[in-house]
Amino acid sequence: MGRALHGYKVKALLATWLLLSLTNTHQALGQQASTGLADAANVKAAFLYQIANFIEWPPGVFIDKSSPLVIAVHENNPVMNALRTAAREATAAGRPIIVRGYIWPDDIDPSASIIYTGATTGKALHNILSLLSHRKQISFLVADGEEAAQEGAMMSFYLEDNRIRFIINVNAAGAAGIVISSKLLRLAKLAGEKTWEK
Amino acid sequence: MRSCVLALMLLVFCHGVTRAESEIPLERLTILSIEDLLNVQVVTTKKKAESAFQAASSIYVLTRDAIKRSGATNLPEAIRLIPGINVSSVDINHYMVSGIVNNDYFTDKILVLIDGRPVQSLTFSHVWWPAQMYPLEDIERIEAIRGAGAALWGSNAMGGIINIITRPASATHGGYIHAGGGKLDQGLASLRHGGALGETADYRVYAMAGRKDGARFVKGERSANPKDSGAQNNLSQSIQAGFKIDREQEGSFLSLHGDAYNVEANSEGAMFVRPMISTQHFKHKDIFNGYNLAADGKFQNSDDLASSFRVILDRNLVKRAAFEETINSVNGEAQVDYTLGSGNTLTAGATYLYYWDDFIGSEAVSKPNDDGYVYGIFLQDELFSFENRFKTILGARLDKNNFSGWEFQPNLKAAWLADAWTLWGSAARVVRLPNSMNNNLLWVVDSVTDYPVKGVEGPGLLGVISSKGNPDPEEVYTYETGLRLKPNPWMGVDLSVFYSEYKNAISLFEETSQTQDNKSWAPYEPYVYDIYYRNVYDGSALGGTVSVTAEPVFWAHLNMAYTYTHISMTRKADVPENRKHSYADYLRGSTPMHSGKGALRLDLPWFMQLDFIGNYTSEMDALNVRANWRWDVRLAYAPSEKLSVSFTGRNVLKEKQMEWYSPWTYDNSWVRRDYVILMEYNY
Repeated sequence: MGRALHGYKVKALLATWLLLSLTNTHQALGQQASTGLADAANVKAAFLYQIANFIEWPPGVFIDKSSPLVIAVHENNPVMNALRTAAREATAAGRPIIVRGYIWPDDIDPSASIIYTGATTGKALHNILSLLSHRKQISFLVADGEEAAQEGAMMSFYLEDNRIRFIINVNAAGAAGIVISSKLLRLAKLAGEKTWEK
Repeated sequence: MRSCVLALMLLVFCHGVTRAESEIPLERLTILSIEDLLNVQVVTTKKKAESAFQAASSIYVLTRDAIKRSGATNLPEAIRLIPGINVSSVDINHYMVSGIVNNDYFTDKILVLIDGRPVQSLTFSHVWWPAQMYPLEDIERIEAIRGAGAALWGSNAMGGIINIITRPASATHGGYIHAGGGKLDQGLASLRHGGALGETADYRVYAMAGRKDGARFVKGERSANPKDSGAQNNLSQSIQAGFKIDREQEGSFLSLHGDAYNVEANSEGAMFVRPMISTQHFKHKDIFNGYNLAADGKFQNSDDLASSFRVILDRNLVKRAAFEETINSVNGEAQVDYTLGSGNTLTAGATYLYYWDDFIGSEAVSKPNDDGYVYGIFLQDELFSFENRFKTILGARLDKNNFSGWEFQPNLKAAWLADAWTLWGSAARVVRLPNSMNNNLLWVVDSVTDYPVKGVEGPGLLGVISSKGNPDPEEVYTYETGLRLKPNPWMGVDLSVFYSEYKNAISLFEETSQTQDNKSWAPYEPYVYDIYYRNVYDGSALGGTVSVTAEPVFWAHLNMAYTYTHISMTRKADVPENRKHSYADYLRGSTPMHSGKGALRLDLPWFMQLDFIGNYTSEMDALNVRANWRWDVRLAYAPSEKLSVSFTGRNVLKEKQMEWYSPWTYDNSWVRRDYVILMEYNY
């Protein structure tokens, strides 16, 4: 290619480039206005922190109305720090929030009623799900990525137009006896369950 | 020195630029309604990594899981799993790792990077693999880009790039112990500990050690003195330690990492020495040691502007029977990514490399101490059009080096991105810069084996590689196209074909008239003649790879790949016929025409894992290596993600086989049936 890039060929290439560049400007102008700009990890932490107001765990998950809400978060995820900072003086649905980190699925706090795994799909997600079912632990499992909700996570975050959106897997939540408020469902994209075994 | 100033200026620059728009603090986010949260625009610190599925080049990503489940205990054995990359074991220490072409002892046409640090020898342009180690557990992934790709990566990426990326320190909290042993890997262990340093930084430190023994060199087949050869064990002992500190804050990511190592590896062979015209058999303890320190950072300066820098200090020593060399280098790189509009990103950067070496030669090899540099700029524009379906990348690198001056390396890539498939194409010119070996090295490479008069005993010819050559850089023009398909969520198919045109391939060249003039040859007097590196051949390579990945059920994962490569080289018209080396045949005959790779990973009940890894390489006639199959089997018990114990049988179907044979050195040894037991524990 190198030596062929001379004279008119260079000009033709540059002209094409310019033309292609122009086709993009209208896309830039058409972007919608936003409420503001924030760090993705902080926004996810804020979502996790509010979720407890919209879901109801089956009886027996909490001892009483003031028992703390334990959120287990993968320690390597930046959401961990954000959530810890947010949870310091806050309560969710009247319960104090405790954030517990984990590195390996075995270390997930058995009393965690919300688990946020970050970008975990496929086999790694399957491992966490089988651990929970083995322990008979009822937790609202949240992950990142559209596939996660298809693969058994109850809720998963994804990015659309630089905004955080979420998918809810009603079947997975229903199977665990977790009831999700209609308000949250209205804001979410819904996913059906796709099992790994065909 | 200049690099340090550059880096300092860059740091100031990166911190000086403030964010264009202030962010909503966490406290305010927590009181927003859930509807409002859905409207908040987010920024992410890290530069958007290109997904391999949408790449406009022949890229293969080897995952951490695939490495672990191969039972590999060193980097070349892990790289062996990558389709289109040829890995041949010379002995238990040395490996030949090559891309499209050139499976030589000096495989100098592939660029290998560990966390962005080029690991090629600056004298020979090849990689001393015994010196390249890292705990495999802490490798995030190995990306292999087959084909030419210099614009962003640097020169010498003629036949491919192997990019070894270690895990961020934030992903390696906690402790990790890895220990094992077997027949050849007699003992190996690695320890790692990681954790948080305050709220924004993380660290890890590691140490690893290994001892290999048991393989024996191929006996006396080429030695001048068969009685003396081949008895030595191929012993090797290695130790390495290192650290990584990452600091991640809003809009910035900084990393400081370094390693230090020492490897002692027995070698055996013969060298041609003067004034005695005979091959001298040797047994030697080779030493490889060194250390490196690297700092790199990425900054999201504003919505439109991201910048990054990297500074690397590297010192390494190679001590072999014929020479001892210490190379010091300083490597700096700065890059800015500017978003010109939606879907149009301009990347510009500058690189600078300065090195100096200390070379202690012998009667066989000598080279003056020298220093050199490569500096340059690169520019790339990535453009998305047709509603982000069509991606085009136009890029170029302009380098100056101390041997051949300015080099221009452009490339053009395009891809059509559909949801379930990607169709891509690329064209590039890449050069392999001439090195000290091609220009400054004096090396006695020939002796009694080229005895000019049959039946006459005594000293004969002495061929000396001289510095007469000063060849031009080797060039390649590579055109590639490929199709990536995802017919369903559990399956991926990847097809790619390439055509490469080589110009000015460098080879040893000998003035014919001298050696055929037998009359001027006096018995018992050495006849010294010049051999030198010269641009001898033009040629082409044509080939392709098809690979399939499938995970039909969650407990089974299958990878299969086939690569075809056809190489043809012809002597340039202005080069007289060369009696000596038929390098054209050598290049063709040292790259397998057919190669196949496959891995089946099964998760069985009771926490058992069963893995099969297969490898096929067709005949390499220039190396006298027959077509060979290699099968590895791994059985593991992994009761939790924290603990696993595994048994790996290597080359299980054959007692021994030859993967590579050097016409130059005697390092070769049989690859024998072997096993290793490994235990890993995370805490």
